[in-house]
Amino acid sequence: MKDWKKHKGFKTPEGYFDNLTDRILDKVGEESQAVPENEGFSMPEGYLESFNDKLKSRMEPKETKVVQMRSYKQYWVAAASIAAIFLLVVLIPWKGTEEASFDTLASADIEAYLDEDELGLSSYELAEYIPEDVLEEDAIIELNVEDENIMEYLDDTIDDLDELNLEYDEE
Amino acid sequence: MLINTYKERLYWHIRRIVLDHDDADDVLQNTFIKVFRSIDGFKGDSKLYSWMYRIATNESFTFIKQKSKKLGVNSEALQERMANNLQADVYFEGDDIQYKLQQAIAKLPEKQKLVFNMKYFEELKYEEISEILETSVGGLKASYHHAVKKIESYLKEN
Repeated sequence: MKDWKKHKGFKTPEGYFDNLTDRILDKVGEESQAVPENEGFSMPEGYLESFNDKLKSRMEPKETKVVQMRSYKQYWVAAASIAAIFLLVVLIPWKGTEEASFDTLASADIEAYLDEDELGLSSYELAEYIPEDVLEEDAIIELNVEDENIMEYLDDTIDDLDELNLEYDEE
Repeated sequence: MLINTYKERLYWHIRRIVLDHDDADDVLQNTFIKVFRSIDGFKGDSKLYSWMYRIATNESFTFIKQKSKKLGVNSEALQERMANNLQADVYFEGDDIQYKLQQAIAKLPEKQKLVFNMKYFEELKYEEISEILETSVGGLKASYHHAVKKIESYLKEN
């Protein structure tokens, strides 16, 4: 490594190297003449004079007018409401939801449901589900069905009357 | 007494950061309010003025961050925008070069901006700046040097 101290005969002022960096950097700043010294900012006239009062008013606690929001009347109303609700709950028997059963369903509702074919079952399929002991022969035989109703039924359900194998006199 | 002694110096320090007079007024008030509320917590390990200066600096940058958040931009973009708007500011009477100077300063990183303002315009000593910003003197000198170079470069290009 080079011995930088080999500079026979030459001397430097005391402390020269100690603040050399500062002096160079300061000089760099001085030479920056392109940078203006003034920024161009201004402030409103009298601003600083009025600042103290403005700050004081901001720091003073403001007196707030206390308005009583609640009155004893409201407490009475609340108590009466609670008592009324309590009475309603205790005195009126609570009817729970009854389980739905066929007994409660009107027969007309059942017929309407079946007519709309919601079950997707034909009459024959439906009859299979009805126990024989429930089906009473008399209930069908004794039914007085008008001829007109029979014809209407046949017309709706049968496409070809030949299926009925009706015997009639050919004229 | 405290207010009268320091209000002008602190105002200009704040103004150089936030640029707008009304914003500087708000921040200056916030600074003194914070000083009075925190005075009991001042430990005396630095000069009172340095402590107040530090509060003013923090309040200024907090103000900018809050404003930038409200506007949905980052704080750097906001500061550049604020510098660009100076020409329309009633309380900016600078010429073209002074306007360009503010634009150049607005582009500096936070530390370099502070050091430049405090050294160049406020003519504080490095030791004073070191106490305020709690940064080494060597670091401050480097920051100042870089700031000057960047500003010179910007002014030459524009």
